[in-house]
Amino acid sequence: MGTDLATAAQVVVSGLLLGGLYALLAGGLTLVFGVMRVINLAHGELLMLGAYVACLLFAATGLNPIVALLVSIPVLFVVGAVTQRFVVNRVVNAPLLTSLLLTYGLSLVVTGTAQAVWTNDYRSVPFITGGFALGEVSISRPRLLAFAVSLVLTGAAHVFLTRTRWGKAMRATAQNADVALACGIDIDRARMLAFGIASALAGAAGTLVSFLYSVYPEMGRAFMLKAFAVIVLGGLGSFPGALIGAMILGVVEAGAAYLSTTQIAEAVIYIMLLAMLLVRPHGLLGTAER
Amino acid sequence: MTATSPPPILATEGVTKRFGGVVAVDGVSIGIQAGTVTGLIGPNGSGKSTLFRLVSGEIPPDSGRVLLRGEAVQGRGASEINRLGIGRTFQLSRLYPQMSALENLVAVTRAPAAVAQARAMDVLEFVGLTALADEYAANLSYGQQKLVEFARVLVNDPDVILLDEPFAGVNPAMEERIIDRVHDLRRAGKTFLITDHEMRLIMALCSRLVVLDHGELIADGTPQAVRADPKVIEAYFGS
Amino acid sequence: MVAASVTGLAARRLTSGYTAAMVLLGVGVSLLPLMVSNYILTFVLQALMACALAGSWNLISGFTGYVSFGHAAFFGLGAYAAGIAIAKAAVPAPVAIASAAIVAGCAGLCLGYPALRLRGPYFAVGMLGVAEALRVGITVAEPVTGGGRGLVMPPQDVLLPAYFSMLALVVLIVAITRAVATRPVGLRLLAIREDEVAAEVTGIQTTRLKLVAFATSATLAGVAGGIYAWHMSYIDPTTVFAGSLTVRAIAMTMLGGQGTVFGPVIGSVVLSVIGEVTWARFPFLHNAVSGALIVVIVLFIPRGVTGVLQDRGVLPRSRTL
Repeated sequence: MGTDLATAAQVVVSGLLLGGLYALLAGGLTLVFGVMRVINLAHGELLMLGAYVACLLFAATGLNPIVALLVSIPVLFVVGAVTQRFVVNRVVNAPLLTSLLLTYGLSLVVTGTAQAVWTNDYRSVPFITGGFALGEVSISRPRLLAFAVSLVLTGAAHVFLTRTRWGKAMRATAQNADVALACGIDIDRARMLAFGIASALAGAAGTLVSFLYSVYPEMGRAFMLKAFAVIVLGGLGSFPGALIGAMILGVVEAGAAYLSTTQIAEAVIYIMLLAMLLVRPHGLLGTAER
Repeated sequence: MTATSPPPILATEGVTKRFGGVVAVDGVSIGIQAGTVTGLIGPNGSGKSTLFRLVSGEIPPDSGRVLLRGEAVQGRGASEINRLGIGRTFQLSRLYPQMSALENLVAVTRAPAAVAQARAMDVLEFVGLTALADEYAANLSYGQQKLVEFARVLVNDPDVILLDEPFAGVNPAMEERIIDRVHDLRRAGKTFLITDHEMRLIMALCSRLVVLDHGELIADGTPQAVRADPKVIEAYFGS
Repeated sequence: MVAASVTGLAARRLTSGYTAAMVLLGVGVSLLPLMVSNYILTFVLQALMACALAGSWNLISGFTGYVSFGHAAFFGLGAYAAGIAIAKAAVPAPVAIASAAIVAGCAGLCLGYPALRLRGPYFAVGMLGVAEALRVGITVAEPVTGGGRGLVMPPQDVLLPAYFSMLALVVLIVAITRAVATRPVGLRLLAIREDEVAAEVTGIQTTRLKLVAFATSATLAGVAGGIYAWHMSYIDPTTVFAGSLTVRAIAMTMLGGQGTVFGPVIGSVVLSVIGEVTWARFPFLHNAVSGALIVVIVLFIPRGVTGVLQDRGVLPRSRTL
């Protein structure tokens, strides 16, 4: 009966490796929500852009996607900061639905433009492949690499948010924008920085995804939904919560995929998203609303 | 009041509500007689607003009961409690901004559709706002909004009316109009529970005051008695 | 006071003139088959379908503010209900379309009951997940639905009956919307959008109202899907559950004016024409244009064309528009 245990171990390990990537993606989504109460439905499109940066660089110069992170991270940071400054900032104080519709519109613009420019063809970046066995559990090399890089970047973002002056300014803005403003914090800049960092994290996740999955313009949707499921699970606005939520989601997805098919695993995630929303209909913000 | 006073129309029994670690309302028991005007006072953060939300059913209590005509109604949901006869206004008026004053009343009235409009106009006339019936709520002055919200509560003829700071930011002419209407309605048998920081008006309007501090009931009696109560003075002026 | 509000007699004249223009539009569309080619007829049929989706979306999302990102799910369910009925049981079209209505309506009730407990934004994202899950579900249920390869029905030329069915559906949707908008129930739905807590506290039975509006909306979208399946005699999950169907319904309704009677009609006329012009040249920019439009509307004209015209005093502030 050792095989059952080995299978379970395999599912958990695969799931955790996947979860690391989800944590990187969801970290940005939860950061933006925490700082400005905006659910960025274009977050998946930022991942898609990050993946294309890697694809295009690889196609043009054969650049290693890990090195491509040095390009995708700053590029996406700027994209995010500019989007925040000129578009999203206009709706920060509007009802949540307004920003939801706005970012939904933005996601369509980005996807549609990507389809027009890059076509609907599937692309991929052939990078390291293969794996190794650890006892009875086999570990994929590219997934392990993506996991490790994800953890490093998520950890770096967490340290930045909790230890630096700018990170503290952002968190102050998240708690109470008016008070932060009164304390001399430039909240517009804090928000720009938050959105920029969130985009950079999503872009980095996309670059890592580029050598794991197919790259195509509409790839962002499914990732955005998963990231949303993660932050609902972990508590909206909570960075450590996103990490835990991501691991849970990764394991659930790996388990569902093992028991059935990848496609059904996707459906399971969406049903789980709805179920989680329902179990904590108001409690999403951690504690009961006052 | 005689020894055998009738059962209260509205009562709370040991009602408690916590938010996280903070006890916002702590075992409050109050009975209110029909046809009276009671003031609910206390410093900021003393739990007045939370008590209003508990009575109107916006939030359920963690423990304790809310009784309307002797029947437990806690946990029934705001909509049903309103239908049972408790109406409230909000501290910052919450009209539907993209509807006219009249539409704000028509939207909530339970009169048949055919007479909804007429019923709404009658109530607007009662609070003296006929002229503003077609004005959008968002375009009304602060005081006018409070009056429309008051009218919106009255349109379904509730027995118990909760007014949350009806006088805040309202000019003297409007204050007088609200006070007159409250007296009219009380004479017609309606029951009021009113919070406000304007002590002058509360003293003039209410026959009884209940005082909350840190979520607890600290005094209950006539305005004169409450004003002299050392615990009340401590709550307002102490550290 | 509103600077330039239209009042009194002039307002009534404008309102009836506007309504008359809409009736004329309907009459014109119904006489169209006498005059134009099948190519144009097919285009108008697609515009009518878009209008039906926008109008049905408006009933729940435009009025209550519960924005559903999963409206296409009900179109898709309706299409599959009718498609399976035609392909496997060879039922006549009216029966197939009735089964589309029943399946979509029941799905609306069953999904709406839990989902509408979610506050607006969570409902929106939740419905996005529901639509994806249903699409996957239909794809996986290959023995019944034909899976990803699609469902083939016996081909038949039903352009004209499909055309008139879709037109009748649009007229029905406008009639329902008008009946709702001019009665207190329409104001109650709007009250949910404006301030749901206040609506609850003033005794409006928000849960029941939302559910009825949602189920009605789902049923009507399902009928549109049923007519589509009947007309096309081929459906596949990617097409009938396409997010772009929802997107266009949202963009059209927002452009015309959410929670208005004719807003979705105006929006679908304008966007269908723009779409037809841009589609041929930039197929992929089609969605991007819808997206850009949503962004522009959210930022600059959140109340849509109808709202702008009312604010400018061109149209009276009547709920019958």
